[in-house]
Amino acid sequence: MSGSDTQSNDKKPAICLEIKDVVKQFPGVTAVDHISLEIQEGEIFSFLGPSGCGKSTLLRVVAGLENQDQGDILIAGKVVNALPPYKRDCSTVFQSHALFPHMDVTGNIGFGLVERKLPKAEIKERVQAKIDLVNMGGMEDRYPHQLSGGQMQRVALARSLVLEPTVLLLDEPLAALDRKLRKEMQVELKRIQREVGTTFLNVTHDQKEALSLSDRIAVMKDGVLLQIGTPAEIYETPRTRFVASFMGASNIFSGNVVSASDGKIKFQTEEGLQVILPEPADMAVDQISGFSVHPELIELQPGNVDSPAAGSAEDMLVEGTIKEVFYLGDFSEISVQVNNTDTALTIYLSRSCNEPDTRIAQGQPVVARFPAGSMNLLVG
Amino acid sequence: MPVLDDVSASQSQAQKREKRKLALNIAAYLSPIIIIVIVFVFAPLAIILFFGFLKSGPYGQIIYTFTFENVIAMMGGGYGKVFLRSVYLAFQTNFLCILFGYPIAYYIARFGGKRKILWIFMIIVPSWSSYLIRLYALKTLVGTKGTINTLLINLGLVSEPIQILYTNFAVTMALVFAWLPFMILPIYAALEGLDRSVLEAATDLGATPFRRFFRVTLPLTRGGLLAGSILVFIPTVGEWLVPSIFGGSKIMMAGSLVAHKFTQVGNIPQGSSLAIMLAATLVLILYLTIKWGGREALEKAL
Amino acid sequence: MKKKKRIAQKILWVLSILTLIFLWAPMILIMVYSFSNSKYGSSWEGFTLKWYAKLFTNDQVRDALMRSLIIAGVTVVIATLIGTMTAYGLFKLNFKGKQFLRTSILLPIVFPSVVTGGALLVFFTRLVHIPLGYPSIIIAHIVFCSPLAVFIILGRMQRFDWSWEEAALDLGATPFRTFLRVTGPQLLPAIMASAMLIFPWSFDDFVITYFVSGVGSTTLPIYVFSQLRFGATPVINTIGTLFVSITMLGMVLVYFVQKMGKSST
Repeated sequence: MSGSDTQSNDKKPAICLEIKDVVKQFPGVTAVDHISLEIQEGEIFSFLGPSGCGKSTLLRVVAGLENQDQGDILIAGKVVNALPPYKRDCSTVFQSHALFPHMDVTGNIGFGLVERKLPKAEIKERVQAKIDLVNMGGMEDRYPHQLSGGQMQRVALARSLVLEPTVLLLDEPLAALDRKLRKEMQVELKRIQREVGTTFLNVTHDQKEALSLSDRIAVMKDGVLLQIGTPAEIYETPRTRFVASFMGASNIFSGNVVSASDGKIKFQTEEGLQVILPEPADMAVDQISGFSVHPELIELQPGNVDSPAAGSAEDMLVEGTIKEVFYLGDFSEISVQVNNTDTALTIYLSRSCNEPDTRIAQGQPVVARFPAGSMNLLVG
Repeated sequence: MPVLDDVSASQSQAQKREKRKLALNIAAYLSPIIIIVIVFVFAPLAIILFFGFLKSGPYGQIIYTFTFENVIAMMGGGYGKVFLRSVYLAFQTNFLCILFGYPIAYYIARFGGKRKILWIFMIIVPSWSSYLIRLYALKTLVGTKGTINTLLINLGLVSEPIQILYTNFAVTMALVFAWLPFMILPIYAALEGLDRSVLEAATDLGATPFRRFFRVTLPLTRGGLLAGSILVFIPTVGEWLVPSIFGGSKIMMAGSLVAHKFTQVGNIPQGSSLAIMLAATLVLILYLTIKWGGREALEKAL
Repeated sequence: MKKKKRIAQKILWVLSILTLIFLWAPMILIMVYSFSNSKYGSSWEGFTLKWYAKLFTNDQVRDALMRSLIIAGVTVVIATLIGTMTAYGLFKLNFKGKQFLRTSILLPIVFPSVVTGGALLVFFTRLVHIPLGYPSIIIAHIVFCSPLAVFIILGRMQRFDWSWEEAALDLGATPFRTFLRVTGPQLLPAIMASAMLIFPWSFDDFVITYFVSGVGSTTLPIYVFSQLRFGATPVINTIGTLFVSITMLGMVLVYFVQKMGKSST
């Protein structure tokens, strides 16, 4: 929960969902461990974490499909702990889409409205509006087994949205789709959300999806909330080792601060590298235990430290040898063995047309340059 | 042109080879069952179909004259009534089996937990125990000198044993007793096969547990209900043992008529025509069921 | 809401227990009575094992039991063999009339027993003159037991990973060797399960057997039926007790065989 204070917006939008100190235990595991957070009206908020981190459980607690052992859930300011799912002002889109196999598209989308005993004409009208919203016109009479994966997901989305819930809960809605379709549906989800303005609470294990889709992200692990922030904050300034590596900042150095003065700190890694960094405002110096660097920020130069190219004096230079080159098309992933250590760096080299990459070859000595701003300090 | 001919010739030769291979394989794997089906299923059915239109002599011999006597006898008088009663009893049994079977199937599927296997075991054992012995056991319980009557008299609740045997009630109870397991198991299987997330979605979309049952659970377990109904209905229509043990001569069913004609009276033409009628009734019902519920349910049931 | 749910669960539990009692009470009753010292076998008059002693010295029962065992034993072997071949053929081969064949195979178990029994009786006595007794009974049993084997084994084949077979062929095994070394062993649990289900199916059959047995070929169910008109008798109580116990034992066995089959795939 160390990251819950990173958000500091000037205007305060209304809070539409509040999770207060929620604990949920299953025999042998604590799936949700004292989590508190607030979700604002109209945003797309994602719970991100590896499978088993408790994100789905937390979503199910919000939906009322599981009861928490401790803590409160507030929807639109009202405590809903005691309400069954069908009385909560939220609706869930399930990963398996969970369409009713014995009802057609219209029947599925209208299900909840029938339960609310609305007049037939109104049901028809509202269902049709949502069918149009999700671009399913012309397929009203089809049954789930006649639909493709993406279409089923659209129907599931419409089925929940038609109820006009305060919060729409999405339980890995795209996980079952193939990659291309997933991308397409991400765009669709975002468009639909912008159109209806409903708050989306999304659960995912796919960091790319979370980054592209969300307004804010909460990273979870083992039932604990590690960090909350905008996609850029989470990606660029992860606060813990886990978040850093989960977001792809694969170069992580452990070590400790050896001295601090004049707003600068001197950090020494376990490999013996020393680097001078500006002292962070939001961390205690003695808690800093390492830093992470995204592979796309590191620059590679042939040769050794004695022949440096241009760059700031505060850049960190590391000598190494190219161990392996993985050609990935738009960029290459290069593994560099740091000389005299066990440490291997991962560096992304974008393809470019003016510099033929003849210098990148296995076994070649290189210098990896870490620009001053690339190093992100970690506390855990 | 000659080249083309060559190609088509070799093609048809290849086709021929394929055909021969298939025929050989069919002969190798399927000849025993084909022989059984032709000789011991179709031939006997053809025979009784033939005999059903013959006359019977006073000493049980068959008189080879073509007649509609047997069929007409059935359409009119008492036989038709017995057939109707059989179908009615079968429907009633089916309905009661669903009524009693659904709750226990639902309980096991939903709340069985670790004891599921034990519960299922307790259902399967009766379904595979000797049918005759089970009926005998039930008779021991409800007979005139049976346990229930003995108990009632000893407790002073009644002075005379109450007549349970040879009533409609006894026959119905015995039918339900005999066939209930065969209804529970397919319903249970259907409930187990339900996608939990679909149920959760229904709740999430605002259905109360009660409404959810009727709008989602029940329609989605229709296959199980249908399978169970086939398993219960078919043998019940043709039932012989239950009416003969629990109905005596008072409550006859179609099966008992057939058995009576074949084994007691030895009137083969009449027995044959009754058997054919019974089979035809069932085929008709099965056909309607398949049309209504699909072949899948039937094959699952069997 | 939780409270309501718990009450619903309680009610269901009570209904389920009542259903179980309905299904089991009669059988438990005769099991208890089989140890009762009463001559009439329908009341409790102290513990005794004498009916079991009588059962094992009763020549009629022993004859009937032997006959039933022989019939069921022969039926199991032949019906399982035919069932396996048929299932394999139906699964592997595609030909015109396959669906018709599948439906035809089902007829003997779809038709009421009195119809199958009556038709076979007429067939045996009026057309081909197969002697009533072992031959007619065993043929009849094979006719209504084979379908069971076919569909149990076919059901298993449909869930079977046939790439194993392709792999074996690819690795140089002939079709016959493939069946022997790969397909056969994989199907063995299903084949055994079907054998174990056919045995009681055949052993218990009364109706069809009664039709085609003729005079003097009393099987155990026919013996039980002949005793039935005398009301409750201690001997049937003991037979019933043994039947139910053996069925339970068989079920447990089938369960473990199937479990074995599952763990091997």
